[in-house]
Amino acid sequence: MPSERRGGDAAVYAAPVALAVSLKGITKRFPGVVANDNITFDVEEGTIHALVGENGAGKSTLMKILYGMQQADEGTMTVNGTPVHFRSPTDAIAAGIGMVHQHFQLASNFTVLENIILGMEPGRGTIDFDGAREKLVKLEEAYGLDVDPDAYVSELAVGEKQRIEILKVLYRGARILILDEPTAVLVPQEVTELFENLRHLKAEGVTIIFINHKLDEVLALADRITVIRRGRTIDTVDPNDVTTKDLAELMVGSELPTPSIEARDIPDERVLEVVGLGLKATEGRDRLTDVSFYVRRGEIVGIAGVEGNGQLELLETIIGMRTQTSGTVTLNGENIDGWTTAERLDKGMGYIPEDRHTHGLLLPAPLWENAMLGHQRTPPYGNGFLINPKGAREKTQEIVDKYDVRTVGVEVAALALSGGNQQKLLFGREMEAKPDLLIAAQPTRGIDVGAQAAIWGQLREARSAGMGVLLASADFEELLGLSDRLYVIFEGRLVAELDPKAVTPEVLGKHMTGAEV
Amino acid sequence: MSLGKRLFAVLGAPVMALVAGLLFSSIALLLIDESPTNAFSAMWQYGVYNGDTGGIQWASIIEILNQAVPLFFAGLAAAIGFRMGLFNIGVEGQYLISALVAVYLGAKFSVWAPIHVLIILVIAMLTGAAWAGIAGLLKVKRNVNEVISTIMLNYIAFNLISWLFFNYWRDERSVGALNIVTTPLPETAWLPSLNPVLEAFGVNPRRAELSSLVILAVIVGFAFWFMLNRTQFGYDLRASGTSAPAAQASGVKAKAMILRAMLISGGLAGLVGMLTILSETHQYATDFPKNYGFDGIAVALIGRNSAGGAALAALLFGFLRRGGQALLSEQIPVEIINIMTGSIILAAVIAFAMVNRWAQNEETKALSAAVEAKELETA
Repeated sequence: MPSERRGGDAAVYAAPVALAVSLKGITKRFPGVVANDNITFDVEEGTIHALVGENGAGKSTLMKILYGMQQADEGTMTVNGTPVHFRSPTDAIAAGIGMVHQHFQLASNFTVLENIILGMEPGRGTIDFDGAREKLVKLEEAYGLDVDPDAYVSELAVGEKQRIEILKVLYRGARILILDEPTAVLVPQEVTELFENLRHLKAEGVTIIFINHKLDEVLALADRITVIRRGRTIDTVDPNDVTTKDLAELMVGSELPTPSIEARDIPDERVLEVVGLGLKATEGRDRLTDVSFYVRRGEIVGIAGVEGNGQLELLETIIGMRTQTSGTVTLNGENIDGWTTAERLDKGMGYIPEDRHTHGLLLPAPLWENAMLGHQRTPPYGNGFLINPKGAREKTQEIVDKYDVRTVGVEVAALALSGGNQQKLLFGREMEAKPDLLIAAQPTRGIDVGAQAAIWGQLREARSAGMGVLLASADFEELLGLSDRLYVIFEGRLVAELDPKAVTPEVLGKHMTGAEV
Repeated sequence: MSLGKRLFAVLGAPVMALVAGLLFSSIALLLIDESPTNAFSAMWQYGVYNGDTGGIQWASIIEILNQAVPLFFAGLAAAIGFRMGLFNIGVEGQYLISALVAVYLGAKFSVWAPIHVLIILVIAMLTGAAWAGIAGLLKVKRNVNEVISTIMLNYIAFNLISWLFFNYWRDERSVGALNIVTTPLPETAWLPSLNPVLEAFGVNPRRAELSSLVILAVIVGFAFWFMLNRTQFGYDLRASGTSAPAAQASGVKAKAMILRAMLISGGLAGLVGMLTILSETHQYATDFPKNYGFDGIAVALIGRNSAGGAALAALLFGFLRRGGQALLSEQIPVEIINIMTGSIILAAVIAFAMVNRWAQNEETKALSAAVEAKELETA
C-alpha cells in the first residue's frame, strides 16, 4: 500500500479508499480560548496517521473529542462511514476506537491478564481466566505483541507496560488506536520496538492515530501527517514529500519569526550565575548534571528543551523549591545556596511557574489573594506579620487595569478567569514586584493568541527595564523571537548554547531531541 | 449576582442541611408511631421558649451555652487543621489528657485566683499542643499520615490516662465510690459564674450557672478569625490548604506550617475540657465528659471551618443535646437526636459542595457575560 501513496496526491488512487475516521469542522471552545477551530481531516483505514503540533496547539483536545471524553461544540465525526456522536469513552469503545494514554493506567500489583480484563471480567460470578488467557494469547500472536500474561505489572519495563495498554484496547475490540505521545516515556530501543509493533498492527489492518511532536519519529513511522497550529488544521502531508524543516515550519508558521531586537550591547552585569549545578534523584538518572550558565541584566536567556529533560527541576532549584546536590547559585553576586524560597522571592526573584493552576494560583480564592501570593511578606501586601487586605485590593486593581486582566473586580475567584487572564494577572504580580531576575516557565502555554502577544510584550518590557529574564519554553517561536541567548537542555545537561538569530528550528529541534550533540 | 442569589450562596446549604435533619428524623419518628410535630415542639419548648410557662427558658439557654463552649473549642481545633488540609482526628485524646494533667498540676498549689486560672489554662494548652505535636513531628520527620497517627495517639492517650489516673493521680478517698475522682482544684482555681451579670439584666437563671469561660470562647473565636484572615501566618495557612504546591512556590515552608498548625490545633483542644474543670466539677473523674473531640469535627464541618460558623454549629449541637432531654419526658427514644445530627452532618457536606459548585458557575457566567459586554463596548 505505501507504494501507491508515493504520488502524494489523493487524485492518483484508482479505487476510493475506506476512511476509518473523518473529521469535519470540529470546533471546541473553552472560556477565552478556542482549542479547536474548524479542524478537518481524514484518516484512511489501515494506515498510521500522525498528528503533530506544538504544545497547546490543540492535539490533546481533539483526541479527547474523538475518544468521547469531551464533546465538540461544532462539526461532525464519521467513523467507518457512519456519523457518530460520542457522549463518553464507552460510546467510542463501542465504535471500535481505543486510546492509549501517555500516562499508563495499570494496577501494578495485578498481573498482565488481570489488568487486561479489569472492568470487563468474563464469566458469571467467577472470572473465566482460562477463556480470557486464551483470547489474550491469540491477540498477542496475531499482532506480534509479546507480554507474559502472568507477569506482575510492577516487574515490567516501561515498553512492556505500553504493550499492555495497547493489548487492553485491542482486547476491547478496538480497530482504531489513538496513541497520545507514546514515545515520550520510552528509551530509544523501546521506541524502535514500539514502531515495529505499530507497523505489525498496521499490517493486520488496524488504523493508528499517533500524536507526537518529535518530527524525525513522525517521518519514520507515519503514512500521513496532519499538522495543527493554534487549534487549526494547517495541512495534511505525505512524509515522503517533506523534511523535518518543512514540518517545523508548518508547526510554527510559514514564516519563522525574526528576532525582534537588534544585537545589543548587554553590559556584563550578571544577575544570576549558576555553576556546576547537579540534582540527584532518589532513583533513576540524575535530574541535573553539571549545569552552568548565567543571566545578565537586561537580557532574556532561553532554555529550550523537550518537556521532562530537567528544565522544571532547574528552575525549581534556582527558586529554592529543590536543593541541589552539587554546585552553586549566585544572585547579584551573592551566594544564595542556603536561602529559602521566601528569601529568594523577597530579595529579587520573580517566578512564573509552568503549571499556573497548581503552582501559581489559589483557584478558589479571590484575585487579590492571588495577587499577593509570593509577595505576602512585603508591602503593599503585608509587613511580615499582618497582611493588608486594603492595600492588596488596591494593588490588585492596579494590576488588573495596567495588565488588562479582564474581570469585573478583584473579589472574583481566580478560577472564573480564562487562562490568558489568569496568566496576565500572574505576570502583573511578578512584574510589579520589580525583581532583578524573572523566571518564566512555559509562560504562554495553553492561552489565547491575544494574551500571548501581551505576555511577549511584557517579557520584552521586563528586559528593557533592566531585569534579567530566564525563559524556559518548548515553543520555538517564543524562544527564537524573544531570547538574546539560548541554551538547550537535554537529559539534565545543557548540551548547546546557540545564537537565536542564527539558529534554525531544525537545528534547534535536533539539539532538543539529542540527535545532534 | 443578585441579592437573592448571594443570600442563597451563604444560607442555602445550612438551611438545606437543617431541613434534611428534620426530614430524616421525622421519618424515623413516624416509623415508631410518634408525632414529629409533638417531638420537635417539646424540644423547642424545653430548650428555648415556652409561651405557657413563662417564656424564654433561661436555664436551658445557659445549659446550651455551657455545652456550646467546649464544642466550639473542639470545632476550632479541628477547623484549623482542616483549613490547611490537615486532619487532626486526635482532638479527643488531646483534650482529655490536657484536662487530667491540668487538674493534677493545678491542684498542687494555690495562688491569686486569676493567676491560678491562667496557669491552668496555659498548662492545658501546652499539654494539648505537645500531644498533637507528636503527630506533627511524625508527619514532618517521617511522613506519617496524621489521620493514622492522631487516631493511634487517641488510644495511647486513653490508656495513659487510665494508668496515671487509677495508679497515681486519683484521690484515695474516692476509691470504692461510684465515681472515682482526682483531688479537686482549690477554690482559687474556680471560675465565678456570670449569673450576677444575668441577674443585673433581670434574667432569672434559676439553678443554672453560666460559665464565664463563655467570654474566653468569644475572645478565642475572634482571635481565630483575626489570625486566619489578617495575619500572614493565617494567609500562609489558608494558601497551604488551597494548594500546597502554590503555597510552597510562594515561599511558605510546608513542614513548619504543618508543625505550627498541629501545635495550635492541640492548644485549642486543650481548652475543651476547661469549662468542666474550672466551672463545673473542678476535678477529673471517671465520668468526665467525653466525645467533645469527635463532635468537634462535625462542628468544624458544619461551621465551614470558620469561627462564626463553628459558633453557630456549636450552639445547634448544644441545643440538640439539651432539647433531646425533653424527648425523655415525652417517652420518645433520645436516639432520634443521633439520627438528626447524623443526617444534618451528611446533608451539610453534600449541600455545601452543591451550593459551592453552583456559586462558582454563577460567578464564571457573570464574569464572562460582563467581559463580553465590555469588549463589545470597546469594539
